[in-house]
Amino acid sequence: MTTSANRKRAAASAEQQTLSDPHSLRETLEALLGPIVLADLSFPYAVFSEAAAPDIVHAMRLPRNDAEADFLTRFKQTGGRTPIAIWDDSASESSWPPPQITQGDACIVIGLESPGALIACGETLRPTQSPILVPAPMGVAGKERLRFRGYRITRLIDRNSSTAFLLLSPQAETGRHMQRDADIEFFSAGSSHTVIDARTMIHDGGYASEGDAQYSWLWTGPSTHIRLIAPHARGLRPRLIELCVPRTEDPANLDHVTVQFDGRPVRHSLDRWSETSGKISIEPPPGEDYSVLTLIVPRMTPDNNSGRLLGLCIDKMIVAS
Amino acid sequence: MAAATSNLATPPQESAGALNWFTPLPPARNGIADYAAMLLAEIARTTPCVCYCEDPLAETPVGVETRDPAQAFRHLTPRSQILHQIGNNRGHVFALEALRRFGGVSSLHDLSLLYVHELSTAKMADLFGRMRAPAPALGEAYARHWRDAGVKTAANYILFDMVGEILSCSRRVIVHSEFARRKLVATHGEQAAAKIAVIPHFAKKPPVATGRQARRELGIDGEETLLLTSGFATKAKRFDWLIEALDQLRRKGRRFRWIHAGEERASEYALSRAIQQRPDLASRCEITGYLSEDRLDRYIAAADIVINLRFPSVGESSGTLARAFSAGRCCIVNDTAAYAEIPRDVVVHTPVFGAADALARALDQLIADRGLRDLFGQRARQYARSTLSIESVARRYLDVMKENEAELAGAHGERLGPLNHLNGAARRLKRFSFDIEEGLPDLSALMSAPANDFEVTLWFTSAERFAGAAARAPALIESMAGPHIEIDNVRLIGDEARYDEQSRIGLRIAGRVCG
Repeated sequence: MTTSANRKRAAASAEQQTLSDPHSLRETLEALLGPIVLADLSFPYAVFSEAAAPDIVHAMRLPRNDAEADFLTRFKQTGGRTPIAIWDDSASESSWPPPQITQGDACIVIGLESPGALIACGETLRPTQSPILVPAPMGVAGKERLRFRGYRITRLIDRNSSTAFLLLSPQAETGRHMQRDADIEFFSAGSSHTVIDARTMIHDGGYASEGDAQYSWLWTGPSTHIRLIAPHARGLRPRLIELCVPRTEDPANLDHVTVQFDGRPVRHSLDRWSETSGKISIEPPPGEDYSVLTLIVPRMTPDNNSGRLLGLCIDKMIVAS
Repeated sequence: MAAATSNLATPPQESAGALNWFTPLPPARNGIADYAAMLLAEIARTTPCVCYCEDPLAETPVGVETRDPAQAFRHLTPRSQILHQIGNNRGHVFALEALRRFGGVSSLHDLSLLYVHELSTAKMADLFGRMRAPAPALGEAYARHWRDAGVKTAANYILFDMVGEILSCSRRVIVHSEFARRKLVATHGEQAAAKIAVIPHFAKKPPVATGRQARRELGIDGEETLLLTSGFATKAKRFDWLIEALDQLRRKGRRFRWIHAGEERASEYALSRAIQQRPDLASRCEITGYLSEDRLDRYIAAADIVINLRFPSVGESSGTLARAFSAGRCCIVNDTAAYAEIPRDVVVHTPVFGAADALARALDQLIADRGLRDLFGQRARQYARSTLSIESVARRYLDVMKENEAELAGAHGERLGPLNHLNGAARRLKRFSFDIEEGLPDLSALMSAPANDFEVTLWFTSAERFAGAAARAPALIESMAGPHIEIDNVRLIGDEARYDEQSRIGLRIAGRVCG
């Protein structure tokens, strides 16, 4: 039996169940589809950073203008370990999936940042035969009808908030246009805050994260600045971002840190835990574009053991949307 | 929980209508960064500005937001007004890359940009390709030497200026001397001329210290005649000529002291050794080593004569010279390249042939004649306060940006943007008319700041009177003007309106008042 058939059987079996218990989004997806890998084509919005960790690969859709593409390819995912995957749907040799996305027995679910993105690239993605996950537009969680030809739609609704996603599963064309209401499944997102551990951060200008699955951290350096992708959890632009800094070698790096948001200076506040630790909070200005947070510190300190130049140690980014 | 603190925040400034700068800024140790900071401060007084700078901690004037140049694509549109400060060092790589991406107006501070291209080129093959553009056979040979044998000489930096790319990417290019403009046109063709505007480097505000105060602080005898040179002691600064000239003066018994306010680069020119070979001169000389800007200003204020030789020149400007003008110092330059464009009554020009002897004669006169030194110093100060004033230079930058904005608006079928509504009244045309019976008017006194374009017509009742006036004052036009007046056009006109009287001859002079 093929992997594909296995997946379909698992999915069919899962669909017959009622998912009444509180599950995370990922668990809900796996109940519906079997083991999954999430190809997060919503980068740099990074809508699914927390929801689908750890098996998530952030990938950038091309084409984009050169300046933007060059800027975004500076970033590395998985705490600074892995380049951003690239999928150029305009290339003549465009192949799916990109080499960074290894499928194994898992089903590749493609994440997109908005229904608009779905409309823009849905047709291009159709031949991949991959399910597509996209944040539902506000207000349609359980009310309005949304159709996308050739896909069966399942609404995934967070029991604790109005957040919803649409899961579009490809179905065979029957030759006749099927009209069918969407299925509804529930999940539990837990907290309204998204917590990004160092090991899953997407950044440019810092060292790779250290630690393990339970606790991880990363140091900024050797550059005095680090850029972090601030995820649009559930498709929403961040309202508040908190960066936990458990350590810096030089207190001046907390006293005189400079913060930019989307390349422009923003105010920040510092909740000092000790002389060399604290939490930096930023309220991003309103906007619609993806979010990049930049920290610039005045002093880099050489590490006695590794010789690395160290700025701030960061272990968590907490995003409220 | 500790009290929350908040440092920073430049108020957000909307991009629309702003002038977007790509430039290094202090604290970068880069002369162009200092230049840009002063110019930015002046322009930002009247025009909303945003600065894209690699260093987010760069010192910007109040109200000017510093943004990340790597994210400039998020804020700029094809209609954005952009000004790049382009120099030939690492600090300008990002500005060059931004020019390639976004276009705009470039202020070109170096006429050779091979080094910054080396730093910014991802593939050397591209650079070798560009070397072939101006002269394929020559470029091919030099590129091959560089690529295959690692041979790269000073000739590369003279032969392959790499300015062609700047000219093609920029809508306008600002250079800082006529020499630079002519050189670019000669190298890159007449089509380059339409893009080029000449705006001189501004002179910094004069140092706070007076000459007397500065001498006291520096421990320099108040009665000694102090000759000053400055900066890195490079070969092109012709210390060989100066040492020869000063040696002649010592042999004649002239008393003076020479201070080189700057650093020696023995690998380039062994200044100390050259001085030590003339023991008598050596006893009158001192090399300070690197000086801060403030300290250098004090030496300039203390000096009687500032000597700023350069040969060969590649069209560069000298910051020290402009500061010496501000301080009202008597200056000596070589009659070459951009230095030849400085008005003759502002600096003493010495030739580049027979240079040492000519320099000795000039210095001999100036050391002996304090009044002569003061006269040049006064004219230099006036030149700095008018033509080279930062207010005048900023206005000229804005003029270029406004022309560019008008072209952009035309290209996009739009109404003019905010730059064209700024300072709209500042450049009114002033018209004067004089009937000349005897003496000529003093235009310099008539036209003081604020800056304006002017058109003066001098009416002579006959050709004889005109010829007489011209004979009495051979440098007729120059004698009427001053260092703050730039004359663009002079022509003779007839008087058709006054049919009832004897026909007249008019001399119409058009120009502008700076400062």
